Amino acid sequence: MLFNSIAFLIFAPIFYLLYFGLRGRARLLWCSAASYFFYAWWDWRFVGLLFGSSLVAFYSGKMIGQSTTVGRKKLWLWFCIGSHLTALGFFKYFNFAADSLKTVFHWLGWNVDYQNPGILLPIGISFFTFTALSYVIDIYRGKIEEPEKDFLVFAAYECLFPHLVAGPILRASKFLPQLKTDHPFDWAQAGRGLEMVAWGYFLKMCLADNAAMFADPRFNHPELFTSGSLILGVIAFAFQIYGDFAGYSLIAIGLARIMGYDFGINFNKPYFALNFSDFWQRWHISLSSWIRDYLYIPLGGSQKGPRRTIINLIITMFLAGLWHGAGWNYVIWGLLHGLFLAGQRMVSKPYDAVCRTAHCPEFVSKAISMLTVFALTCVAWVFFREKNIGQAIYMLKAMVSWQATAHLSFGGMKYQLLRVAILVGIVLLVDWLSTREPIRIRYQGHGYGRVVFAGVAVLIILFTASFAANSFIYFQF
Amino acid sequence: MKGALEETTVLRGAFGTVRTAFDEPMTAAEMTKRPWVRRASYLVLFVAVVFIGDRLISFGAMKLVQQSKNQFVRMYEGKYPANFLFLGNSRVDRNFNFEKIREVTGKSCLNLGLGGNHTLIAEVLLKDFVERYGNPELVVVELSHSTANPYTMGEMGIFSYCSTNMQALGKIIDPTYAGFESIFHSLRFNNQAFWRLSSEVFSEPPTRLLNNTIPAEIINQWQHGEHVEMPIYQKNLEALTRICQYADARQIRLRLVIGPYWKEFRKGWSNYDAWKAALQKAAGKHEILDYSEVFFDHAEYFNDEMHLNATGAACFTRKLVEEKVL
Repeated sequence: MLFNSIAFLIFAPIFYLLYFGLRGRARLLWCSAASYFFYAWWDWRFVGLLFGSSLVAFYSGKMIGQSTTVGRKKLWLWFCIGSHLTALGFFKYFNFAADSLKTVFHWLGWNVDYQNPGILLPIGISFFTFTALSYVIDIYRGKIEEPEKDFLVFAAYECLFPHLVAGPILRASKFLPQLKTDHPFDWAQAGRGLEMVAWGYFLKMCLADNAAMFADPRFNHPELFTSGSLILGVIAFAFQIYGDFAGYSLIAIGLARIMGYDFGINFNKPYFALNFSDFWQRWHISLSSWIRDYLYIPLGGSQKGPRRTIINLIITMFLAGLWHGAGWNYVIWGLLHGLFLAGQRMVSKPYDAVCRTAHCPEFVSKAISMLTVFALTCVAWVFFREKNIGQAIYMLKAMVSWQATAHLSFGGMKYQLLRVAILVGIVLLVDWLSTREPIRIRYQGHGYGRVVFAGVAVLIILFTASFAANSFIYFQF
Repeated sequence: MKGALEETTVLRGAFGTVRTAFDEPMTAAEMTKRPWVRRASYLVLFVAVVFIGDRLISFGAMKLVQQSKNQFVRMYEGKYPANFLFLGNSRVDRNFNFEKIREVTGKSCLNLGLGGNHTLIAEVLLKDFVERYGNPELVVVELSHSTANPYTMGEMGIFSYCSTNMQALGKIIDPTYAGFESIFHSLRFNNQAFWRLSSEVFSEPPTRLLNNTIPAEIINQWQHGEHVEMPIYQKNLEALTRICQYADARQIRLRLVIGPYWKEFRKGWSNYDAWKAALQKAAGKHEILDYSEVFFDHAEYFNDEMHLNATGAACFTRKLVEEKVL
């Protein structure tokens, strides 16, 4: 079920009505049942997979907690990790691996007559797998003192519908305790939740869907457009994916906030990042912190010397790329970010020194950094968005060859570009204003102002949103 | 619990600490002073902002659009009487040189073709024109719009502000959206058309004639045996039958035309004959004038596989005049 669908508009009020009408285990049961229904709306056949994931993680956690020897703890930990990664590997990477092997065999001169079975990817599998894994790893590491005893609580943790299909990826240590309290309806929380939901819908339906209308034709047929138009298309995509994913996250966080739960935040003005470490502190925070805690730090992080740090960064971002999608273009996207992170370690000190020597004003050096990070992020987005590496390279070449004689410049979308530009301006303005502490405090203390702002957000949605119930990009991951 | 919430809103990010912009509560004084009155006033204010804002936006947008020099707006505003009416999609908009037709025949032309328009929209436009101006001397319908998806309003939804026929069509095509539109009027102006029409308040609409030739990429694509099966929509065919009946009943001269296609595209159109037969059946006694092959030897007349460039449009127009179609 999509958040931007009529079905969800009917589902949500029914859910909340019963949610606040119930208490204790009945409420948890309702949360799990409604979440399974939410998931089954897309494809009921994978409900078993979700249930199986919860069952395996719950039982493994329990066994790790009960085990007295490190060996047995390890056994249960690897049982859970292995079973989850097997399922993820099968559903997400089987087609990719088989196709890649077929290509390798073809290069070697062996023509294999193999038809890809076209295994369907269960929606949100990467998200609920990571949610489950963080639980058992934290128990193994002792970060969770006691494994969860109540399966209903655990099921609600893993499958609660707002975060189920596209995150944020929750941590058991933060969220399980919240599930053990019966949150009564709280007007202030609900108000804040609704604000987030409204802004999330704005990001998705206004910014992302409008930007998609401009970006899609350019990525689908780069050969028809001029270089300038392609560059604008890539910038539009950068804002499309931001609006799409940050919008989804904010709706999810807002919906949870109405229930009384705190999911934390997942995006924090990423295009204001001054370097790539900063970017990953702002973009998909729940994933980047997951990768930091369960991958980068176990690999040694930055504690084993500069060369090893660079290798660790590249390995981490390679796997982050692969997590996003089963395709070499995602791998390249991840590797590029790994290289950017590594390169930044080499460039940042000389850059600071040059700025100091040239007496460069702080805002100028910051603006240069910000624009550089944004431009390089856009280059990486080309690999993320295109169907394959060949297409991505073609697109990048077309962008820099300045082919002004191409067939189409705006392709009849001059006005769409204007609309997107206005929406991008609004989003950047709001993002910037929220970094100004006095304005933020003034706004947050002003109830009527907030209500007017929410009303204006609804009006902008009515006037500019796409109501085509477009899917969210991150559902495919 | 409040404590726990406040604590967890400060989240450790990937490499530092970040805070949400939404996590600070309203002041306690605000929420404790007669909370129900305050909540009710919030609700009233919110509803007022949304509904009054909606009406203000839609009124302002309508007034702006009404000033547009666009031909659709001028037709709906009663400022565009014309002798010849042209209906269809972008293959009307781009393939005819209306200035030339006016020069040669001395008749004023109204171009009501736009990319994405289908036959149901053409039917509404014809009725709306006749309701405002009476019978035109001639109606030319370019039939490729019957392959356009009839389950969308495209850019024409905006005209539901001034056309009950367009409103009724919107209700048939998407009753849910039309329902919301009747509550929130600004939804009518939520489309690309609004921005285009608004820009044409300040400047004359640009020429619709195209100036390119077919790009090499498209030529390559089609010369490697590309095939296409165009959809045949029953709803469009039924609308075509109704257009013919309407024209007959009002004794309006009607020309049903299939404009030129680039040779490779037309040859790759696998169900062309079936489509044409379905059109002929829907049109009844009205002859379908098929010019699809007329420029098979003139690839240079085309901007892309379906649209003529300015040279092609001039030649096509001349041909129609010479053959007394116009």
